[in-house]
Amino acid sequence: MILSCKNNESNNGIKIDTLKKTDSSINQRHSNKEVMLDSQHLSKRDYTRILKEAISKIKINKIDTEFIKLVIPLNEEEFGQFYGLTYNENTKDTFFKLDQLFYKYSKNEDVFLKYLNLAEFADGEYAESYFEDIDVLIYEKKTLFCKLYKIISTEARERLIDYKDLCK
Amino acid sequence: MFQSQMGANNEVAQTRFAVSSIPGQGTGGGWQNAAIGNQVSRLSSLGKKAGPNSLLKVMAGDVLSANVQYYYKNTVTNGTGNNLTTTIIGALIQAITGSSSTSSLAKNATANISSNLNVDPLLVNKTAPDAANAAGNAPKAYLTILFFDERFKYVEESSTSLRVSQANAANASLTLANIKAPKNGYVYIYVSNESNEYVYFDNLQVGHTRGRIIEEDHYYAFGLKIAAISSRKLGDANEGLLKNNYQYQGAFNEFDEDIGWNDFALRNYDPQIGRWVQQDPFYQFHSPYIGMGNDPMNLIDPSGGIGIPCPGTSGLGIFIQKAGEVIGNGLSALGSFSSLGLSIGVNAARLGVGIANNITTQNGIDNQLMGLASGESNSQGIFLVFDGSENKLSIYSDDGTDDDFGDDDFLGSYDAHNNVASNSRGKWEDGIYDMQDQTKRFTHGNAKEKSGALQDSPNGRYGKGGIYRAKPFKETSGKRIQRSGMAIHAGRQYKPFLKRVTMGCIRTTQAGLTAIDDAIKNYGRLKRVIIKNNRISTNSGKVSNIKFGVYNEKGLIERFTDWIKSFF
Repeated sequence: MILSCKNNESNNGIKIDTLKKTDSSINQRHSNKEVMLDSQHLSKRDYTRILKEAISKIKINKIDTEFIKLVIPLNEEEFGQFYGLTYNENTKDTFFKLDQLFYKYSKNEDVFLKYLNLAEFADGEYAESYFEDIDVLIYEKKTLFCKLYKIISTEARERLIDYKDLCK
Repeated sequence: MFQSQMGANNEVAQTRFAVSSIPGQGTGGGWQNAAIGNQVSRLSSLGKKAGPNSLLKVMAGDVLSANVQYYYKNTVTNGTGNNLTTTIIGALIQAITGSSSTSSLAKNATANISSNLNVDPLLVNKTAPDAANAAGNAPKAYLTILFFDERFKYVEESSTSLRVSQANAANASLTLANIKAPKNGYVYIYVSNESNEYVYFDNLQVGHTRGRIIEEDHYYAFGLKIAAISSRKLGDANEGLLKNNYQYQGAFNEFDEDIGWNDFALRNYDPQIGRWVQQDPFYQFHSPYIGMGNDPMNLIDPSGGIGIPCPGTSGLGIFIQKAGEVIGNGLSALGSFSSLGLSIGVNAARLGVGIANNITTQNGIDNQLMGLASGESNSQGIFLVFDGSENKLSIYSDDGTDDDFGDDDFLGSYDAHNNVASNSRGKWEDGIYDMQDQTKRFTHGNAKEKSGALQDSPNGRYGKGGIYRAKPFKETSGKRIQRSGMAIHAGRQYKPFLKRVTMGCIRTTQAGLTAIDDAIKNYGRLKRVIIKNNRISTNSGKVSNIKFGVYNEKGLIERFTDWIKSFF
């Protein structure tokens, strides 16, 4: 997962490939129990580490664009872990700060792409703020949005379909 | 009734005797009883001494009763001695082998069971209670109830017998009533006769009233179940296969019998080696695989996340770890003091949960459905009912009677809806959901909207004062998506109530939320929300397949009580 994220930084072609890889790894989890255990384990472990690092970095105010690219959840499971930060008073503020930084660093194309993909998983009360924020960003960055809209996940595209007309 | 007696060699078949052949029967003598059938059981030392019997699985506290009608013609002259024990044990072994209620462990150990029982002096006395006594002229014929533990060791307590006493009495019967099972195991009920006078038995009836204990589990320290002394009642026709997913550690898990792992929320656990199969997502201990920090007497790790003090071992437990190095769901139950850079969690003893001797009563199961925790009394708390067809959110106080909602107090009803946006992930399915925010509302701190308004302000997106969220859950249908952040809130005050669509949340009025706040203050924590009739609601938005039950991150748990059903 982390390697995929790093690959994303290089060029758009690889971005598309890595997104597909992510999808296929999720499918694999469902098709084979052992694979599922391994990949779930890796996914949880890696993302948990990222969140732990985020907590430390937030304290010393050392979060940069590259790190934000890592922190944005890539799948439902990671979103659950990310949102899980709100369940504890010690980590709640980290959640809010990270969420603000997702928005702030969306001027970066890679961050914006990942933030758009989050549309697939955003849910409940979090989704209410997410879709209001994404609405602002989309209108601010119409051209970039239209470029990225073609390569975000199918599910994310469906949830952002109301903005499709902006790209005509 | 005589489920243990299978095949041609069973005692019913072997002792069967035609009533018409009882001496004197054809001439108005014999056993003249309209209640008996054409065939009865005839026992004596001249033939078969052990008659119809029944071997049942029992849990401690179950109440047994037995009744049988009998007849014998003449008084006898008794001698002393015991020629019955071996016969009874033989019949018992046959019952163990043939019964569906005995475990394979017992079936494979019948030789040992037999040899051990034959030398148990208490059992020998009980199977032939008048062996040393020649007094009396009634046959030494008995109705007997014997109790055994899970390993078929004889249990003297409550085991009893009753001897026949009336000669040539057509309506004579023996009754043993209200015999309480002293421990989990088995009960063996039988009739016998060791005298040489024929004694006829018929209509042996066994009553079995189940007690409140339905399961008792014993574990080695690291959670491996000690199967030989653990016990679970057999489900009846209505209950089917009883399954308990709340065993060691008291947390939901599914046991994979193929690989012997317990699948907890975050990790798989191997109780044979006391190790998690995956690494600790929070790196709490020096090794990421050790179970409960290698200290199972003092810690539990209910989800595979954070190890917390063991409930039940003491009223108060403390664990310390560096602040900020823990994340996720596991800490929500812990209070904290962060001024010293330390997080100190305090967890009071919980009901119905223990590391060892984890006895689950019917109430215990219900308590888990109710989500009782943190030493709380069963009578505390409130719950909400959202009715999608009426667009109402009702508040109830729970009086703690798990089987009856009729006596729970209705505290008020408020406008509410679940109108969701077309790009949301959908409404709530009908069901019962545990709440995440149980004692106070979740607030978004100082987080502001782009307009500068606080999110939890009257015209902020969540309304004044914050929200109440359910715990994460998984939908039962479609892609079984995980839902997080599903909440109840008031939303922006200035927008028309019904037009304030959500991304899945239930909206109610500020008055409704304030009423929930007040109810928590007066009656205790907010345990759950029941969603009903959302499928037939006229609300906008999609509704996937509807089931009902208790939801958690694993999805729907197919267990619910009748009183919950009655809400639907």
